[in-house]
Amino acid sequence: MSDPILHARGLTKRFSGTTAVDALDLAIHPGEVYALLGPNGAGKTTTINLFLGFLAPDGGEALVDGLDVQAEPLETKRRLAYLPEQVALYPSLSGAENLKYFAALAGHDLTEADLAGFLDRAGLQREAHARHAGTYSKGMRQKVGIALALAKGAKALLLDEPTSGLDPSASVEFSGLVRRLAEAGAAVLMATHDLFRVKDTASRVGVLVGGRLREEVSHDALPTTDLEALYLGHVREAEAPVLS
Amino acid sequence: MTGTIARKEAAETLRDGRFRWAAAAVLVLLTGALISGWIHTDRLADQHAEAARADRDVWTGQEEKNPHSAAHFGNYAFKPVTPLLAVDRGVTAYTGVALFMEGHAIQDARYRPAEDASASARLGELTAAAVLQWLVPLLVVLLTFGAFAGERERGTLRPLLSQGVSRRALAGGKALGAAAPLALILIPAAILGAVAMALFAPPEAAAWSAPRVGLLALVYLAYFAVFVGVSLLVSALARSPRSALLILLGFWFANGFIAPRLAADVAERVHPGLTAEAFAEGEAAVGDLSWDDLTVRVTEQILTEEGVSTLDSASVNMPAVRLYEGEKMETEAYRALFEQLADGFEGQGRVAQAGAIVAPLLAVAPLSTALTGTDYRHHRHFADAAEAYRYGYVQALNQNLIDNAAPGATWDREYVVGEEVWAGIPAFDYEAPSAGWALGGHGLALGFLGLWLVGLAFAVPAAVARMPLDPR
Amino acid sequence: MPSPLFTVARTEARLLRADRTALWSTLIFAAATAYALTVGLDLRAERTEAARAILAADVERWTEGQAEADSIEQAMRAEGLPLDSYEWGPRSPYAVGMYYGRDVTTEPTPLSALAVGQADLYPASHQITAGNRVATGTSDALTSPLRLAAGSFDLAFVLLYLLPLLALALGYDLTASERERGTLRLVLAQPVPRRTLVAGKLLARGGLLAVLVITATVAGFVVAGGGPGRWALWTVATLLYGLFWLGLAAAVDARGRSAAANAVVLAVCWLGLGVVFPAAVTLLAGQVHPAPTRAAFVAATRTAEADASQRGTEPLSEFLADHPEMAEAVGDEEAAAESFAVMAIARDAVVAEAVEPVVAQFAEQRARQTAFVRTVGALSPSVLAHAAFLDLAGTGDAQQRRSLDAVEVYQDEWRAHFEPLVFADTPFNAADYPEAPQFTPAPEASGARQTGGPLLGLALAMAVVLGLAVVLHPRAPAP
Repeated sequence: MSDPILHARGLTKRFSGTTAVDALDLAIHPGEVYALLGPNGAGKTTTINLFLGFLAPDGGEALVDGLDVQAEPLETKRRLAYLPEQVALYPSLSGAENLKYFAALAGHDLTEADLAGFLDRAGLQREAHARHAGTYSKGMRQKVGIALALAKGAKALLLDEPTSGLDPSASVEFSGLVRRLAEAGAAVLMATHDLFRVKDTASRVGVLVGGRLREEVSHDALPTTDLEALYLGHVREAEAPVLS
Repeated sequence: MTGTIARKEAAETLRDGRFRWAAAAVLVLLTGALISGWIHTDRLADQHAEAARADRDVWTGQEEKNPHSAAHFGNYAFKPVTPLLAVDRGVTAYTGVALFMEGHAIQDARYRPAEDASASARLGELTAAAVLQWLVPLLVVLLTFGAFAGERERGTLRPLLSQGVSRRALAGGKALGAAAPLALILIPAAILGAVAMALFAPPEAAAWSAPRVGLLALVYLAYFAVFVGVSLLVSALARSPRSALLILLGFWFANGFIAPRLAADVAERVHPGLTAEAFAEGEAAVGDLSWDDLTVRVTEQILTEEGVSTLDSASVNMPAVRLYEGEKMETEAYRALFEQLADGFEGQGRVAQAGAIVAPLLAVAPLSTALTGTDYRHHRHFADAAEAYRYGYVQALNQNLIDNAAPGATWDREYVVGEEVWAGIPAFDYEAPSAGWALGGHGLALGFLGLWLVGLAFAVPAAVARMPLDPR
Repeated sequence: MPSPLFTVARTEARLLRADRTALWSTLIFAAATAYALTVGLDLRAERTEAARAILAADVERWTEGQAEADSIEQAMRAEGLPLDSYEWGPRSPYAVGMYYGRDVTTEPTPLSALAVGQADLYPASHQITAGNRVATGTSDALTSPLRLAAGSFDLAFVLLYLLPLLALALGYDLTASERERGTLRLVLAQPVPRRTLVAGKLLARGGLLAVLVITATVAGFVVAGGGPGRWALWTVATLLYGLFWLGLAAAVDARGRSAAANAVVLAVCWLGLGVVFPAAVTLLAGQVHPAPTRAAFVAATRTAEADASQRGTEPLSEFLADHPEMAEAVGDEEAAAESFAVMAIARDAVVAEAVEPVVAQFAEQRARQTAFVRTVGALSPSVLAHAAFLDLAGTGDAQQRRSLDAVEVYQDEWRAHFEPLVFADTPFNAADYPEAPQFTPAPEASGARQTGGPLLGLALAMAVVLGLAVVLHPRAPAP
């Protein structure tokens, strides 16, 4: 098996007393869609922030394509594409202009044809390309984010609650896009609590509660696992009073 | 209900560390400005009183001379220092402090303190008035800009109103909630100021100041109320707390820093006063008044009144009468000229006050300077009193000459008087006008301030009644 | 491939164009600049006209005096009278030197149209006479005190007060609004160092600021007519000052708080540095180095004058003892004491000597106050920029001191010229008119030397806040 693209080793982050991410070990390989399942405050976004280098870990390390995020912040970001829960674009620029700007920041000087091509592949309707992004729906903004991932040729994708607030059809369309990116060789980390969507998108699932990875469900076991029961079980266990 | 909201707002503010810092800064600046103002006022008052004493000694110590020579020797009036200079310096840096009073000429007071100050003094004065006019409104803005806009953005506005709180009660509570923390700053400062005045000021100064200080407090309370009202109005209508803040900071800046200059400039254009040229022409015209014609007129008058044919047989000294009449003639012309100049200044002041329709400071600043006795009207009151004194004593000396000089057509070289005449002229004693007089010239400013208060009293509840409850 | 810095700057510029706050700030600034220039030009024109009128009247009076003296002399020659006697009038050294005198005036500097400074306070002219030393330098005030207290709406005001606001409006949400909107996370997820992002944004916003500043100063210097050297210094001072406020905004923004919180902090900073601090320094200067009031000066003068007039002819004896060359000219002291003019000169000397300590104390304390304000005030960029503007416009303390010195020098020359004539009792003939000293106004100093300090201070202040911004931004909390 190939080397993991997204790799956490004993990754730990504490915020004034509470441990947000506790000795997380994670390895996501090319072609994999890893769903990090957990309730609010479980440490999902913190994990993503650690991979982005927005936070410095208190222990362990986050590696992207074998590079330490802290030591090589720019090199690792070159390999990453990131879609926050709300993909925010500059409202006074068009989708294409937004894409051009972000791609330029990543070192890719895109021509008009490139821009149209990537946006097409991301599924954004032609008529929307030149419209101000202020008029876009969340799904449309996500498509610009996907187009950016395509433009960057990102080896890894970090998705933070991507399907929250999407209507079911947009949600299905988005899942398809993610799967295609993975099939093209990207490693995807998707933080979510959308159990329904996880089922048909993820190739592997980790349950994160209280900053700790409680359980991993492998690709093979996924079709036969009752994710809801598993998830709720871990949440209840974490919330239950500790018995002496 | 209003009380509950106000208590909660005030408690929130008081718990805010930033507010405590700001409050401490305001308090320190306010008391510092007042104390240094007192020291300054005290020193000034001493020096002016000392100068007045020295000048009086010089006057009574004159050697024997013709009374009219003494009118040329002259007298100085030193502008008394108002005890409230410590609160507001007004235009005192730009009006003279020493007024020379002599025969045949009227001058305005000279030696304006600003001429002797360094240029950076014109960047501003740190007085209690500056703190009250600039700093406290900023604090009001910072305390209240989020009153409705912030709750709306946090999403707490709808739940709050769903508790059965009326919008009117909410507005009242927000206003009171802003007022209470302010009172915590202003009341100690006012008490400190009052104690300082009671301790240091002579009793008559304290008695003169008391009604003025009371009115001053009302004017500033009205000013702060206007700012609270404007803040609540903007907060109710603004798209977000941020835009409420930006609009209010813009208003605060325009009101405090742009409006005074703009208003003074526009006032000068709208109501141009006497130009330097016109003034010089006026002065030259007084100089050109014909004394020869006067001689003829006075001679005729004496001859007719006494029924004699030549001045040699008249009972009075013609040159003495001529001096008396000449002084009258010149004074009339001079007074008209200076009145024109002063009316121009006051007219400009009124035009500037009209700007209070958009910037409340343009009403508050003139009222503050009027009540502290540091505005141009008070300066003019002093100059007019000095002029009345000047005319009185010069004519008393001329009358002495008429009564005592040897009758005839020629100047009596022999006639001289001494100390008893000098001492017989009372020293110039200026009495500053009352608080009622001080407000008299500022009906416009009072009117505009009232208009703001009434307007906001209607506008704020109306805006709160109509404001959107959800963020846009 | 363009560097990321320019990519950021270019996009930032596009975003600024779409931003209404930037648009409105620019429009207000432009309108205020235009208005300020008309105000400044009007004031300068008014003062120039007044100065020229005074100068013309003075020259006319002087020429008429000479012509009249000439016609009197011709009449005397025609009658065969000797020319060594004279009467009160244009041939009397007493009348010409001590009564008519001359009115001297200095035209406002060209750049006073940009910074009125203290120019609106000083008298348009001084009457120079002999035997009347202490009376110079004061006249009736013909400008409304209200207007003087409010200050002029000139370009210096716009740059000193409005420019910081513009800079703060451009900088207060440098990254805060992107954080609030959420784009900051997406931007920083790209391989761009935060420092580059901040630098690019500052480049675009600072660029707009610089364009506005340069447009304003070019417009100002074109309409007011100033040289390129001064323009360069003025522009550099303004740019440094504007960038200081932009840098301050960037440094405050690095705390990672909301745009509204930044606006609050910056408003307080502006009030503190631009208004409260300068006022506190002035206040402190007065407390640390209190100058006697003018009332004390007037009283001292009056006392000295009364004293001199009561001492009979003593002042003359003292004066002659001090000036032996005059004693020679006078000959008989008792006869000379009969002359009102001679006694006036002698008393004037005695009075000037008596009030000298008060005058000296006054001047010393004032110089100390000015020095205090200049050193302690240097902590506020507003005080520095104000000093630089006034020094360059020639309307500040230093230029005023120089103008007054020139007037005093001229008065000394005038006295030195007429006193011997009065003492020797020789007529002031028509032929003597051209020999009388002529006034040369103080040359306008370049202002460059004094400006060095303020410019250095401004550069330092700007470097400190920009340095803070650069150091603090990478440490800002997670987006």
